[in-house]
Amino acid sequence: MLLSCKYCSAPVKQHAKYCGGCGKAIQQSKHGIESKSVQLVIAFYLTFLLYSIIAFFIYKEDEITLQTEIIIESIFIVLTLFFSFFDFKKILALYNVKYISWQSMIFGIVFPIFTAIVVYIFVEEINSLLFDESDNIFYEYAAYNYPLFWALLFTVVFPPIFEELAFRGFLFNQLRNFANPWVTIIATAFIFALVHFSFLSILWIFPFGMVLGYLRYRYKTLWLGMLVHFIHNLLVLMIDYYYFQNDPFKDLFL
Amino acid sequence: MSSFFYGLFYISLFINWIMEDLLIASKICSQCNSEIELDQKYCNDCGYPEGGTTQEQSGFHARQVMKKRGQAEASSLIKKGRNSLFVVAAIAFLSGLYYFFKLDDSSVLIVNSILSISYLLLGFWSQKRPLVALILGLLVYLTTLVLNGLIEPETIYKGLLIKGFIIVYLSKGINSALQLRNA
Repeated sequence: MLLSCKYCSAPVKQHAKYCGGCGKAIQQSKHGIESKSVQLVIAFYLTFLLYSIIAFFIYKEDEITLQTEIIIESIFIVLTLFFSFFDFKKILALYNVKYISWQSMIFGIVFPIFTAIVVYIFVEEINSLLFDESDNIFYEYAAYNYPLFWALLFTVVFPPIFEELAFRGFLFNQLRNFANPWVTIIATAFIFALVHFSFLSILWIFPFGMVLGYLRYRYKTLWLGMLVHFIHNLLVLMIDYYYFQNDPFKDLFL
Repeated sequence: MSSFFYGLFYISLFINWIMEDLLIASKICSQCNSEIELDQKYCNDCGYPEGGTTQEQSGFHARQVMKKRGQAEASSLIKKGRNSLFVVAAIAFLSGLYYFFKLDDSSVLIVNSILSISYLLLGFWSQKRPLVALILGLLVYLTTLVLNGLIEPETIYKGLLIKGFIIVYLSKGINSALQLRNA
């Protein structure tokens, strides 16, 4: 293939770094793409930091109604979709099943069962040991009508869909523009752990995020991550629900 | 008679072949020793104007010096960013110790130790991957500032100067790492 210099249109050899006719660098500098991606990653994180600050002050109010809960959750979804539009085509391509194998499907079902049990045993243990508190999510929903429905929607259905889109979709693609696959997997897992705002959780959310990132990289799809995330959250909620049902003081939370 | 013309024809082909070879014969770049075709003014590998005027050639050398100086500056800014990660690691650990002895609160010590180790790891990682490590360092630092501010609002104005310096050094480090990648 005969190339020509875009500055002086002199013919250029295939592996030339500089044009022989005008001396200008031929290789397109990736500086523009890289710095845009760096800015997007930082902007994305700062946006969610700001979102968490606002959510913190809203949750500080004594009475949280279902309505405010829905509004806060919707803001997260809208922000995620907003950022995804910067990279619409590439993210859309991640919703495919072309590369998913049977082995990966089996892994996607077995792995979250393992993590849900490990996390439940260890995190409960550490939390009650250090902070003298329980992490049972179900109590937050107990006061609403149909608590199980809302708990399922907000902790089992939405997080896998939109967190996978935000972290394994948008963030992964942007980081990939200036980092190799492994660095990207580590960095997305790190940020994923960081936004859970519990520095103790880093210990287990980080490796969990690395597995999700690896699945995204290896099978080029978001579906597997969503499956793992979904089953994990479902099991944790079910265990929480079980303990709630057996709580002798549960009527206090209704 | 015809064989004579045929002979002449083949000789002219031969001469043509030799000439062609001579015409696209190359010279060697005095800067990077790679071949430059005779009709080309600049080296394809390093951009040196081998066939240019002395003025153009000294301009090339001047630009090289500027480029090297820019790279040295970027490296030193990355180093400052890395050092600020180590400083933050020390601050996190020491404040954890302080709360442990003052309030007898082991949970703060554990959380701050995890934080401190994260900063240290990012600092060491920034020797290999400055861009990503410094970005993650900045994000962790901003997160801790926000969390501290939410939990204890009176800490927001504490050590404002140091906080500012750390954010500026980390940001400059990120910027320099970005420039150095495309140097």
